[in-house]
Amino acid sequence: MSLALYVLRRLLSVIPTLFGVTLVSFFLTYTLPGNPAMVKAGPLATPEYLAEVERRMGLDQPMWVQYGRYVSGLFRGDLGESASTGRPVLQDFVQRLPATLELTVASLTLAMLIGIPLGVLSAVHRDTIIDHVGRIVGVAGVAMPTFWTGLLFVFVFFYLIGWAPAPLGRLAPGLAAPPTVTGLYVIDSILAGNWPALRSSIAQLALPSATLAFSVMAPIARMVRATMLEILSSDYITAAWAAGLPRRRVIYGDALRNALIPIVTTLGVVFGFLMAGNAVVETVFSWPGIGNYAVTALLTKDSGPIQSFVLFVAVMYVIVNLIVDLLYAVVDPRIRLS
Amino acid sequence: MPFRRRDVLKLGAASLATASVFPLLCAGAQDLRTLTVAWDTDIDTLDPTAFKSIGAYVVQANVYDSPLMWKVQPEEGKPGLFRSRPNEFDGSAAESWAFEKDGATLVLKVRRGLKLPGGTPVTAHTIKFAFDRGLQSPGYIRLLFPVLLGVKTPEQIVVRDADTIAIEMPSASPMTLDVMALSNNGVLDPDIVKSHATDKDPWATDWMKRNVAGLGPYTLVKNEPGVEVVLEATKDYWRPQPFFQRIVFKFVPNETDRVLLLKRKAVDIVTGRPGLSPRNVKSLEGEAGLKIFTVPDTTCHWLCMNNRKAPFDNVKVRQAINYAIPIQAIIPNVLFGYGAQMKSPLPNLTPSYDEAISPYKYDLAKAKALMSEAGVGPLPITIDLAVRVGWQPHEQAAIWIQRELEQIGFKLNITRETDATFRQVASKGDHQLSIESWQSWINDPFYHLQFNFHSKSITTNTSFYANAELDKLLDDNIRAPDSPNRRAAAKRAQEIIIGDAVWGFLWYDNWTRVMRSDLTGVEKRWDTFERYYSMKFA
Amino acid sequence: MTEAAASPVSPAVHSRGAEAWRILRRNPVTLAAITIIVVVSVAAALASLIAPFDPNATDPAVALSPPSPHNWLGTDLYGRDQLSRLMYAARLDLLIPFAATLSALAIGALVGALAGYAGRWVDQIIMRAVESVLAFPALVLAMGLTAALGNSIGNIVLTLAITQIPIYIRLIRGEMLRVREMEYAEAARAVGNPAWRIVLVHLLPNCIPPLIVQATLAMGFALLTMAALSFLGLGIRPPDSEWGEMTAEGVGYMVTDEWWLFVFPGLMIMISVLAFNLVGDGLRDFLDPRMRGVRS
Repeated sequence: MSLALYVLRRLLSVIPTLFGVTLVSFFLTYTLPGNPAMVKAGPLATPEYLAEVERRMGLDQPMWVQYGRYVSGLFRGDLGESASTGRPVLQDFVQRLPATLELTVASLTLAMLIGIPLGVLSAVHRDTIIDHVGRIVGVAGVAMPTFWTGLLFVFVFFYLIGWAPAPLGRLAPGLAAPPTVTGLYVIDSILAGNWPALRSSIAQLALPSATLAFSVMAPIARMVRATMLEILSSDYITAAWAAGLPRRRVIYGDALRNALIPIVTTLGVVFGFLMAGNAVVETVFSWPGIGNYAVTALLTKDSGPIQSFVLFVAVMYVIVNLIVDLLYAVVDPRIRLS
Repeated sequence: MPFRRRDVLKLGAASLATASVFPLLCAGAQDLRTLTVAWDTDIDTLDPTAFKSIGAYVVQANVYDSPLMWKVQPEEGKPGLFRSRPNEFDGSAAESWAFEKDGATLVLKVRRGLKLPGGTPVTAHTIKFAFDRGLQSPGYIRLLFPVLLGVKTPEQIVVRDADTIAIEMPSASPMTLDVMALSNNGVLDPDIVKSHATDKDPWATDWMKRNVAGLGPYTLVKNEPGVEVVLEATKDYWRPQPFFQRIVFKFVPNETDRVLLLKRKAVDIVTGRPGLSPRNVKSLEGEAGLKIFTVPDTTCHWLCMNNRKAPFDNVKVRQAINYAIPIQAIIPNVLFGYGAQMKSPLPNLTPSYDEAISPYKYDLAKAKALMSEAGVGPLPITIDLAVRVGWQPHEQAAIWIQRELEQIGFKLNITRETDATFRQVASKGDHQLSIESWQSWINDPFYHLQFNFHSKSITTNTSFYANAELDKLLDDNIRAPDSPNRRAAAKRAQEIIIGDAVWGFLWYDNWTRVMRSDLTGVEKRWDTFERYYSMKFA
Repeated sequence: MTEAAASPVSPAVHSRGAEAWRILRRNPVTLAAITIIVVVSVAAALASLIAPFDPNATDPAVALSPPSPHNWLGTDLYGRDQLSRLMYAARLDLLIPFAATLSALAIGALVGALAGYAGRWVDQIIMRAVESVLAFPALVLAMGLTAALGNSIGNIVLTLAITQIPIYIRLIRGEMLRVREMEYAEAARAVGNPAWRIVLVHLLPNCIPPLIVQATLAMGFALLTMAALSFLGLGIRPPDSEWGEMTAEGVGYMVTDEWWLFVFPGLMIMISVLAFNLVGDGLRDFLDPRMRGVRS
């Protein structure tokens, strides 16, 4: 089928998934113990005031009515109010999202920068010491709990050695944020020519992104290794070698380019991984993102933010996978024909 | 493609270089003298009359002036620390006060020349507005004023002239001036507040939740939830400008991070509840560049037994538990010297405290004997013990207690609940066993007893204890002036409560803060919320 | 494979076993990983016999003491011996992921087989549901479920199982699509076997291998998820201890120099997850004929 038709079909198939996602996230918060109205009304509320708050929040309605309210609210951009900040959740979210995105992008970049060469080296020197060591190092990263790794990094690199700055957020205390264009401080500082902010935002990103990158390096390296092995033993590569093309060029040029497709797929999975790991790392590094926001909301039974976080992460994942699939289809015609 | 390895090296080198140059960058970045505080709390509401989080209280105490304030005196042996003494007050929004009718009427004189930030003068009407609002909107004032002062309606608050206001109580109350010093009685700007009132919300409770409108040494300039809160010194304040023109509160949820930040001097002081656990404070003793201020305080922690739920409705069971609590292991291993054993329902700094009444100590044999006398069974009885997540001393004490209670016939499940859930379950009366804490803002025995043990104090009497004789003692004496009778009544109240083993007695906390060694002007007032006005670097 | 399973003493099985042992010997890493898992499991099973102390016995006299001849791995705040606690914790740390994985496997395999074999709209509905749940990263889903269901051991098993079921459904369904058109399936149908028998007896066993690989990897992941939940305050209740909870508590002692409380539990998690991952890797290499071909 043509590319356009495939894209359309793929887009349509996302809709039931998104619908299912809203069902799951609604159900999750519906079953949370505790009364969100009580959180909002406060412990000194009289029973009448509490009932009033419950009525205003629609908590006295049957489940399917509440679900309807929830979904219609989503379409209007009304994600409810946070009991702990007192502000609309959407506002809190929009304010905190860039921090998480910046962390995710930085971690992914770092993971790729280390993981891809590691995978290539392992494939090229298969079954030697290099391969085994690389395998263990990569897998070790995945095997350590992220909070352990994170705090270990803080302890060693901030406290003991003093290389890293204090884990106090995205910028050093006293520095003003650059004017918001994307919300990603690194990019905004470059756009504004604000070099102190640029240096500081990169320095503050170092430890948290290293922690996350360390935990997802392995899947990337492993996928690169497996794909490279397959390609390196394929006919046209063997032919290229036989023809006398320089080894380095063959590996990093032709072989890697072909390996990119499954790598991109893995990146989609890794992205989901990172969005989940964010919650823990943000807590350890006091990073003001949505993961931190969600954990606090979870611990304070603030249902608006929990629902929105869960929903947002899922929707992001669906979109990322959609993009990966579409890229795949554009590049590899066999996919859309199957 | 071939550049990949080099890119990694370049990035690594750049980060290292940045990190080392970094501290130099920071030094020149601040133009205002700033105090950096690390805390683990948030501002949930700024409305002075509402119940709120610790962070919100600390901010409230610094952005609002009350009519009076507790005076502080230097603490002996701890240079740089100042504490409140009983019955010593300074004028704040009110410059002087006097009593009439044998103490039944309090007359406050508004400070001359006092102006709100907008320039409007503060008059008696301004002060009355704050009181009226407190009496008629949901919150603490509506609870405290009737109980402690006998003031129930706005008619009892009388404006005599532009700078005189009178509070007419049915009779003298020993806590009158303390109530005037509470941070909940902040002076508000009536014009601003009224402009945000609506028909459904005549006292602008919605708007005041997120905004400050009144007079205080600091102004809230930034409130980014989960990130930071920034206060800046109020211009044209009626007192001289403070040393610290800016206070920055950084939200640091992880306690290990807070400790490391202090050790590396990246923050100047840590506050909050819990802030730092005693174990971590102990590890910071003797740390170069840091000092610890710790003084005994009135915060009580106890094992709360729900007197309405079996088997805790049986007094012998409650007594047995008091003999089973391994207090001699808990005090050194949980508090590390930063607290003292609780021997009475009253804090040991409160007048009329009597430590000789309690017979309880760790005695498993006696505990077992009492359990068999109680005749409850069949053993073991399964109970849920609820503690709050993140409160390390509570979590640790729970483990000690669990072990011992298992020896006398209980099987304990420790459930860790978040603050919000804990309060909800507690106020519904669904906890069987939990670890609670309470700090009385006013250091009066009857204030303390009233809220914790009076059968009508349903939201704060977490044990749901009801004793008619005690109720009468409290009703008769809460507003009575100090006298031998009142002191005897306080003693009798302690006897009743200890005899009935209402609480599982645990400990009193110290008020402890760890900070840079050159920080002085630290003030501890009765409500434990620090005021930053007088702080400075030596 | 089916023929070999039918006659256990046939030479086909022997040579397969011998072949497996040969491959293992050439893969010392995988062999080491399997050994670790076996050792830990045995220690956990025999904990009540070989642990030096009662894991819940408090002893204020030796609270917070470093590793010593008396307490090989040191003690914690309450004077409890860490070695004993780690051993007893191993039970929960192996049992909970195992129970979760097993139940997820069982349910996932059945539902996936249904989706793959029945096809058409049954398949469509099931796959859409699976994608909806898979859109939630496991930790986020686990956080939400634990908050909703509570943190008793049973509920944690349930939570971990729910996060894994969609993966197995998808896996089995894919495999089922592949094998249902194969010759032996055709043969079974021709003979007149009912659909459920075909699926359970003939087809499902052939779908198992990739499932085993995924399951071993999932064990490690479940361990890490439990640890993260404990760190966030949603983990198992005391006095039951598991490594994740001990690590989460232990990180607080990093700054007060009680390194043994911080290092050993984390190390246990790391070693176990590493072992599971390496075994899973090894299994995957073993079961993937292409890889085998390249290697030999």
